[in-house]
Amino acid sequence: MTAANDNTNCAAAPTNAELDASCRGPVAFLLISASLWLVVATVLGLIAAWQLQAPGFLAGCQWFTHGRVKPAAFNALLYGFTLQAAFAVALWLIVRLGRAALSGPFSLLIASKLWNLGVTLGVCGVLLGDNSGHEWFEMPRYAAPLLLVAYLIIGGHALVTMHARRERGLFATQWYLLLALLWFPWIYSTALWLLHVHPVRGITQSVVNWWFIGNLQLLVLVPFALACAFYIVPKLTARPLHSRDLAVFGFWTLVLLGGWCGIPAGAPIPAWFITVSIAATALTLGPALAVTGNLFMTWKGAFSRVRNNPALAFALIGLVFFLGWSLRAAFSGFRGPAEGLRFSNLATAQDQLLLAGAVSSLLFAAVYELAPRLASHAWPCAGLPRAHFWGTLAGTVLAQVSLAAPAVFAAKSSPVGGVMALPVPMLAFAGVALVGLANLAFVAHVFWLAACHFRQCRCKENVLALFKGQADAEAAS
Amino acid sequence: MNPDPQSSAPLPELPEPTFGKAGLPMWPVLMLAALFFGGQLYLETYGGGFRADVYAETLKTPPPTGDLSEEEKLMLRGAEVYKLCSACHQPNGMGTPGQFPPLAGSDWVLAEGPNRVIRIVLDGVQGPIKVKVKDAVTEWNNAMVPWRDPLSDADIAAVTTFIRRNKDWGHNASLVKPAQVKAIREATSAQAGRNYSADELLKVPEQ
Amino acid sequence: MTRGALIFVGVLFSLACSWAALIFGSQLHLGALQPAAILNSSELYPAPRPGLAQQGAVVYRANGCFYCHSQQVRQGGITFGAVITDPGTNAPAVVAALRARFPSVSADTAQQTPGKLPVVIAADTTAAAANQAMKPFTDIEVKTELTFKNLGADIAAGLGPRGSVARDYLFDNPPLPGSLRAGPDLANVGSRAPEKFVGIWSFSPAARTNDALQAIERERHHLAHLYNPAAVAKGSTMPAYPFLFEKRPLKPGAKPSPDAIQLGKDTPSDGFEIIPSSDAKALVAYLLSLRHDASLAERAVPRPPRIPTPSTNAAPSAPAPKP
Repeated sequence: MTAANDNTNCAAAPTNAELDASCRGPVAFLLISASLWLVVATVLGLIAAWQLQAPGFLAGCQWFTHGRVKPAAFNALLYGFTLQAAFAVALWLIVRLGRAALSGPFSLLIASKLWNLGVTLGVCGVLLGDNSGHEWFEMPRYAAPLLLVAYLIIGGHALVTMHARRERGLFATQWYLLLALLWFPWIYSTALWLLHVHPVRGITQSVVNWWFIGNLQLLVLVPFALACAFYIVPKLTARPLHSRDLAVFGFWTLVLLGGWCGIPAGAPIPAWFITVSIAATALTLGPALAVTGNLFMTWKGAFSRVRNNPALAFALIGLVFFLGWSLRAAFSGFRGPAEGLRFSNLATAQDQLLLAGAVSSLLFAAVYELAPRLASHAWPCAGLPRAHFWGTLAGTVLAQVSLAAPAVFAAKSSPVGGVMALPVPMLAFAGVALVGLANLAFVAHVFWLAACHFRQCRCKENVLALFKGQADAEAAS
Repeated sequence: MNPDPQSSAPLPELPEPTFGKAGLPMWPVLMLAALFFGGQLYLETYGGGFRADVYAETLKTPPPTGDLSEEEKLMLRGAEVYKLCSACHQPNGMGTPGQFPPLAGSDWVLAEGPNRVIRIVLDGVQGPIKVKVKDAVTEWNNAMVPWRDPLSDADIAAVTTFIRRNKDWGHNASLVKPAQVKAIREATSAQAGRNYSADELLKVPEQ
Repeated sequence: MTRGALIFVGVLFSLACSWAALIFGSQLHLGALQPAAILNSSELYPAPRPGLAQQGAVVYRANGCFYCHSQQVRQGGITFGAVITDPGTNAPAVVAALRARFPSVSADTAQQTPGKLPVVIAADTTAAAANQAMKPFTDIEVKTELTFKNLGADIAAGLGPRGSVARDYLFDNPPLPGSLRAGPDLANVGSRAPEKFVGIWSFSPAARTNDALQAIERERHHLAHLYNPAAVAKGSTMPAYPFLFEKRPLKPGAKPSPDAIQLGKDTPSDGFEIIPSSDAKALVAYLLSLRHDASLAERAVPRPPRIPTPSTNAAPSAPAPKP
């Protein structure tokens, strides 16, 4: 807790409570906003998923035609929920691991509001028809720059806080956060410049778009997620990380390879771009296996702790989803399999597995750990995290199997020649709906926790544990 | 907001994570080395030579397109352009007796090189001119319009190739390339607007 | 790994390499692309879209059509072959060369073959092997031609005669190649043969041979499809776009306006007619402008071999009479 010696050069090392207090405002704001966007994304996503099997649903209304609702839902999920939650978790982790108070909390609040304004304008713009035409980057040019400006403030303060850290050693979490925080503005500003401000010629715009998507996935979202994993697993299993050298290896190989992925097979560009991307994607098996291997070796023998700790449970499924995503990406990228798989539901399944599966689960794991500390109050309900976990797991598995299996086993074409016909469309919708409902349970729980914090109530006396039964389980193991 | 002073006991927390002592196992390094080697082979085989014009991954140069050879293109275009000439020299190249000389079998057309015939097409010819077909020499005296302005280098090359290599007339002289026409056009720019006479042309070497 | 600055620099350097290769490399290779001549023609391809089609591209993008429709034809390779197009005058030598190439063929068949042009002397092989097969024939003054076939599942499915290339998207801002095919690929929807519209759409027999009629019928089909996809294509999961159309009251006994869409037996008969808005017309104009089938140097479209017709081999006719 407090440092034993008081050095005039070095003030007393802050306690966890002080560190949490320094970052409470911005992190809580980001988390609450992220939760609200999760609700919006879930509602819009359910509409879009339902429209896939009932095309007449809301078809008469031009703002809710499928081609507008789908990107609106996706952008709300990616920029509204995932990235904001990632920033919140990143700020808290940097503060906690560096043992230094957060710098500039007030400007961070302004920046978060600006980010939310940008996402709101963007999602509304997409619904109104101002789609930019680039996937994962649909926000129109009056909204996208706002995100960059907001991020520069957020990322800037995060890096300043990391630079001013007391704990000079950098844990694996911080390497990945540094990677994500550095690379996001680079790719976002490149995409902004080359696609909005000074659009490049013809298909090179699509090359920039594919590069942006690949980099966002492997060098921003995955690092945020792995930062959470590297924090949660060793901490909550009370074990040291299995191997530092393996973690270093996994990190640098990801950095080396991640930027080259993203160009799909069969794209209408010279062959070498595609070949380089396919090779790099196959090689990312190296870092994926190194990272998951390292974490599972850390975990070995302590898997039983998952039973009473939703944070660990989400970390487990997050890592499994990440490994599955990497393996599937590596093998389906080659030209042979891609010929049958590329435009099929496998692409939808991959995006779902990464965004709503792996990255979300690992972010949830971190949120389950950090939110009560910020709120100085335990999670009020034991049932909602269970519902969240099982809903996410069952829904993701159901969605994955129902989307990917027909693609892999070559579903018969629909009468109009699309390759995405599903034998039982309701299964995929059911999977997506389960995940959506589970997320709504999570959001409800977050607001309940916030209410408990503001009322400073003592409605749940779990002072010895974050979750019911956790203390007993830990005492027993 | 500050935590409630009544619940001053912070929530229980495990210590922050630390690194363990295990070293780097060999399997990921070996696996990645093997993947890198495979990746190099893959790039070499399917990289399309890293060229901007190769879309087929197994090739190193752009594929042949079964396109026409240069001669075939010139002959096709030349047949089109010849329609302009056929008004006087006739579609069968026999010319109009007493008026316009024949091209089929003509020694002017079948000379070793195309220097003279290119000049004739560029700036026309006027006055008496002798044309030898097989062993018969005939005399002609008329004016041929110049084609320097209406026809491009490519078109003049095409039509002169056509008249020199037309199989229907039994011709098999050499091709004419647009670059040759361009060189002569520039070298004779002073001649523009003035027809040649036969004597001037005979002074020009054939090749 | 304790120095943040070291990680910062290392990450920056590694990632800058990939940025340079993919972004910069694509600019070097494709950034200055210009329209190029179509093979065997002096026309340049592509040409910028006419105004209505350009507006239609905006409608296509605003309504997110590219989330379900791709606009790229993929190609899986090329095989080459060779044919004889003109056996020339030395028939015995040609027959001998044919028998040398195809030893299992009987003498009679070989004798008759030069008369049945084009004669296939190589098929489904590499370019080098096809050229090798052509050599004995070109040596004896026989006209041969290299042929090729474009391979790939997309081409076999009739989505286009060749794979899409970068030049096809030169005037698309932004290009919309798409990443899913809930509906068919649209790269060649402007020129797809009537029978290649999967199953449902039917063109009148007159339209199959008359391009102008076919253009009109295509436009009508697209408009009807946009208004109510399920009526035109059974089992379609495409949403309807009624907001691109206007329902106007039709006085009883009055003729419907020429713009009104025709849905066959689904034409509403309740006193209304459906008129496409300018957005709908622009969108259809855009769809009809989508073609990736010009034969280019980087990806050519196979054409039938040029067999000289007998009339060009005739002896010169008698001199024309004096004018």
